[in-house]
Amino acid sequence: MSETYLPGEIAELHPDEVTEGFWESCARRVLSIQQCVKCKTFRHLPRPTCPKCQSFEYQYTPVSGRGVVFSYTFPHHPVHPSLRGREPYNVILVNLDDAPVRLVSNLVGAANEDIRIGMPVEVVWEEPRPGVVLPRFRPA
Amino acid sequence: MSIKDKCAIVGVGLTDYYKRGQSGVKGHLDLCLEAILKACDDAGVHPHEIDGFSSYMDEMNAAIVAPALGCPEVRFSNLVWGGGGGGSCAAVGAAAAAIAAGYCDVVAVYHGIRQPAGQRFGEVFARPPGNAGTVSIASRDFIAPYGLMAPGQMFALMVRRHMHQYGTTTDHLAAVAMTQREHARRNPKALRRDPMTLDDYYNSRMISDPFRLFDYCNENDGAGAVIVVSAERAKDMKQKPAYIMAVAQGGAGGWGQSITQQTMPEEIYSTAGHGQLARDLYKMAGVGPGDIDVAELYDHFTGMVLLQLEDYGFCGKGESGPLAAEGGLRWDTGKIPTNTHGGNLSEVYLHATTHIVEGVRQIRGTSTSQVKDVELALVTGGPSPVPSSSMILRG
Repeated sequence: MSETYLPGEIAELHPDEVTEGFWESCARRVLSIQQCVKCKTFRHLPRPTCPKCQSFEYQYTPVSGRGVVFSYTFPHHPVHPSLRGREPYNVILVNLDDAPVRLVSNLVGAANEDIRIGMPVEVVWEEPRPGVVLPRFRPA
Repeated sequence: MSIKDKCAIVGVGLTDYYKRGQSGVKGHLDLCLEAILKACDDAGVHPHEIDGFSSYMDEMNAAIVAPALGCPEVRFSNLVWGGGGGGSCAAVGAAAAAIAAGYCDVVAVYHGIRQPAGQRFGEVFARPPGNAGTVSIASRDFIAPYGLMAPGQMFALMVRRHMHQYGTTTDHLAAVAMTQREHARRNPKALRRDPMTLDDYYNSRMISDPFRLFDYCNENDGAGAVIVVSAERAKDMKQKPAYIMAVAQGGAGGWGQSITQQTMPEEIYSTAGHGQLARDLYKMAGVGPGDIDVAELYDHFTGMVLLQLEDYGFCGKGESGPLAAEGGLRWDTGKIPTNTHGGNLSEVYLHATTHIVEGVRQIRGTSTSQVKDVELALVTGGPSPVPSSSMILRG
């Protein structure tokens, strides 16, 4: 496996009944967002009910994976031991183009100093642990 | 029906302040009990008179505390949901509501924090799954793999956005840190009393850009407590009562656990999430921001002081940075004297207990940075997952 932006030690996943659909889609390298079957409202974080119509029926709907940077920070302090040597890394918030939701992720393929709020980005896939595929982003 | 002016804080107690992990043989329960007993002493109340217990984010519940104090009866107990110091004023509000409703007569509101090795609060999301406070293991998956693991990183994202939208600068953050250090220097109990220059601020190491070390609160162990009784009973007691004029708790429904997940609605993203609390608080009290004499605003991070100044209407949206830079938070000459004890940043970090106590001191006239003729003091709990909370104390 090639080097990923952040180490596999922090990328263990613990899907539950509601979130597993998100990660199953990621494993196929398709970004999908939870959507109400009845009223079509998107939501993230995954939850059992639609906040608009309270329906329990949902699906994970593929989206383009394009979005814009909403905010960012550069952690310089390795809170987890496996992050030593990776700092300062970036954490970005991405507002997706196709669904009114915001994801936490990292920007790869750009220097920290080139990150700007509002910059367009698109999803890329990284596998920091066997079977764990994470959506990260690169400049679009 | 409202709890306005129905009850008062009549006693306050704080333990000694310890550096994180340095409270030695004093465990979490010891610290809570010591704070409660000091508050009883301050109030002139025997601990056996306590019949109500209220706290926030603390496992030391009434079943543990009441027998330790020998209290003959427990008639009310309450824990406010949420993380960090968000529920502090809500715990006081619950005490006032319980007394007003006739459940009980004397409530101890208390909270302790103790961080032995492996329990460092700032690393809460970096710990093995299943041990991440109020955040489920499954929802942690959406932040931890990306290295978003610490409260400071989360609030840095919010303050970065505020900078982008309104031109807030690190000089503005420095002004908060330096003003509060000046206040701490006047407070003999404060842990950080060295002078802080702008150079000192910029020389402190970067932790999560734009936050440097001096944008962060301390990490401490200790506990605080207050005693709440009815306004009627408070009249003839040992201390000048700090009447609980209004309390608000909660936050926008969509805010939820947004500090950790960063999913709050865009229109309230660059806030402390206290807009709704400010509205409800001022409505219950029947006052406005211009009536507040002093503000003890929860300060886990410099930037969140700025955002609260805006949420509570002490300045317009985006104007908090200049307000701080112009000396607006100073105890003596500021437009809105803020964190007159030195706050979490420079006095001690005990999850908002010290903000409540300092609010009471300002009402009594006993602060080490006493604002003149204080009638109303605003106290807030930490911007946090819902619920956060705040209150207005009246002299």
